[in-house]
Amino acid sequence: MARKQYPPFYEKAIPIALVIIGLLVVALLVIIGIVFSSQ
Amino acid sequence: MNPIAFIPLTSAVISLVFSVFVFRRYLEKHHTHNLLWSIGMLFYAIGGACEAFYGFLGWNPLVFRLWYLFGALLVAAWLGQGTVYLLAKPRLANILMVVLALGSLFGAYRVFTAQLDPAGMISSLHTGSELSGGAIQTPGVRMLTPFFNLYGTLALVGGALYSAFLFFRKRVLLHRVVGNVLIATGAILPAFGGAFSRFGIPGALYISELLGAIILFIGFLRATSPMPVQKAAALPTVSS
Repeated sequence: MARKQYPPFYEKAIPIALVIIGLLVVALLVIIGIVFSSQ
Repeated sequence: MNPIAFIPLTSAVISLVFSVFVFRRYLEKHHTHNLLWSIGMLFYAIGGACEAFYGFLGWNPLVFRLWYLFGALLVAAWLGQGTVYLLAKPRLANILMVVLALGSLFGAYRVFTAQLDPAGMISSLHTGSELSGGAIQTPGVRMLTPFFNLYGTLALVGGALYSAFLFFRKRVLLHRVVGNVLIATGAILPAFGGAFSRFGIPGALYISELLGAIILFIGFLRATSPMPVQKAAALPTVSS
């Protein structure tokens, strides 16, 4: 069965963007943890 | 007058336009998530306007309380609640809405009864050029913000990432994928700005709020306007 695809740019860019934002969320949680623990 | 105040003023104008835009969409379609996003962006605009007021005219306790309540405490949570209505089952969304409404009332009570000292905004980390929660002297009030902001940011960013992933996996509705990636990016920026502000990085909060408002707005417009799909895009096929 044929699988649809997005234009090549989006096929590459979207997974990278999702991973980067996911990592930023983790980093934010760490920063919030540091702020919390320093109070 | 502090020229940096033009940054939150711009954020306030963009957020207000965004809020009106989403509210008109709510009037057309009567979707609860649009109403909550509209309220959330109105809070964003109030926060920006209070920051601009402080920069142009100086300290005012009422403006500070409005800023802390709407701009620091509630904005992310109410925006995130919109996403909860979009993605969660109605019953769960309603329960969380009740909790958020009660929490917001409690937060408003704590913020409006807190003792303030503007000198608290000037510390080893802060120059006092930007509004900061350091002015709140009553213990426990500032402890509320991480709970609201964690809920809001995780709901808004997590919901946008989840939506983007679902559409991407099925390779449908490219505009929704791109829009949700932008919404997640715009939502996480002010969260970082707030965190960096606590570490005393000047300008971090106001600049991140401005960029956040712009990217959120672009993301919303992108997610709600279908992109022209070229036929060639669907040509390469992968056997499954």
